[in-house]
Amino acid sequence: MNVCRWFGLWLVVSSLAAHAAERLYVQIRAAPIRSSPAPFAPVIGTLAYGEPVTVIETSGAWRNVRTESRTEALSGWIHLSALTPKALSLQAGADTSVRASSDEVALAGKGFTAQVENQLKTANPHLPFSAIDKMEKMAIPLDDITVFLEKGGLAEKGGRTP
Amino acid sequence: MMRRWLSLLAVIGLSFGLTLVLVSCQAVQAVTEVGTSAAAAAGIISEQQAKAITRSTEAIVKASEVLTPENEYYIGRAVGATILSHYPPLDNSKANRYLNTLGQALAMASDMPQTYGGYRFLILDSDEVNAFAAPGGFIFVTRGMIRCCRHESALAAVLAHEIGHVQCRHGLASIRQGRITQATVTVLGEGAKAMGGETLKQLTEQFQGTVEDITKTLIVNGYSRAAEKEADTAAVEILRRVGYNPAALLEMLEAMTTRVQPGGPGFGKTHPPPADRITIVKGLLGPSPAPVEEPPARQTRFSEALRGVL
Repeated sequence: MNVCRWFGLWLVVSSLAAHAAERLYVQIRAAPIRSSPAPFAPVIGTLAYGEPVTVIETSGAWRNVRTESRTEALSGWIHLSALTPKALSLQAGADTSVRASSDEVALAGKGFTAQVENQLKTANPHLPFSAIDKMEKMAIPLDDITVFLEKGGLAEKGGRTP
Repeated sequence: MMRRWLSLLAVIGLSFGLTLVLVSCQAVQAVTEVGTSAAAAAGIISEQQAKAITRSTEAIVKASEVLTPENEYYIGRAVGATILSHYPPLDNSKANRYLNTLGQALAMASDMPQTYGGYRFLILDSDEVNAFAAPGGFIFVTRGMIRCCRHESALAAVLAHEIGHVQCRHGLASIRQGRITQATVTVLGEGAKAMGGETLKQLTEQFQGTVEDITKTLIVNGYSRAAEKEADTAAVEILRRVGYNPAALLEMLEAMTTRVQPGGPGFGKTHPPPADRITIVKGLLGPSPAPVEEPPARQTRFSEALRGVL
């Protein structure tokens, strides 16, 4: 009886612990992780699309996460909107064995993807997708944004935390 | 005895799941999956039953829950390309670079700091006063709109409002009911096989329909007043977080009352009258907001970067 009771208690405690150490997946391309939970806090690393992470701490909409699949675990703060509880490589019947690299995971995604866009382009050659490709190249380096904010007297102390 | 404990745990798991149903739509599916697998593990329901429950939960979810940021990115690219087939881009790399630096900085402070492919901004070579936000963070602003801005803070207010639409995923709400459900059925029906010709054809039709729904809302109909209020609320918060005076949004709207004709082309047609939005924004700012005083450094870079646009 006592053994059963202790076992039951252990099950409750371990299930609570499992809930606390929540596993999530990165759902955007090249997700920066930061040294503190603030929008302009220094970036200390980048996570790949589909990468599994464990949540170790919570602060508002920010999660302090630790990588699961790297040989040297990386941890830092990431905004909750960049994470999903769904294993991305498992979507729409994709093969789980292809979770080797971020590219393969991206290709494993189905629904509205590059393949569908190509079909649309072929059927509608007048749509200026090349202008969108050019627009996408206008990514501003983080250092330039930092200088822009500083010179403009903006985002003091890493910006106000959402 | 042990079996009783396991069953009890499964029941706790399931009821926990049901409680959360009312709290967050996005949490529903994850929690249902956890609940059903716990029940299946405890032998209360079979694996097959667990899968059926999970599947039926997926069937009733909305576009905003089914579409991943990657899907949104491809929708946004196609919506963007459609906008650019109506409004040519302005070929001015200095002005566009300034717009992207400002816009990308603002986006970092939003409730969706990053999209799948990142936020991008582009000036449209049109005198019409207008701005568009496509899903995934592709944002377009006309020369006419930029000419309504006296300073960087005002332009920041315009961009923050558009970022608000992206963050709230308003574009997805304009997709016709049923279209995404069809697309989901098409994809799920395909299972683990490679996407075949017929499936790809169907999916492309559903994709094109989705893009048309969103583009029509952006260019012709406009978002609901409730969505505009949400975007203004988000804009005020983003401006505050970055350090701009949010009263710039108020100034911007006041400048627009003189430039935008109600029911006229562009913004006047797709947005509530500025006077209505002014009342809402005043409420968000609180009593007697401080007037915008633009520091010289910001005024100089604004005028220099947008010399050929203003």
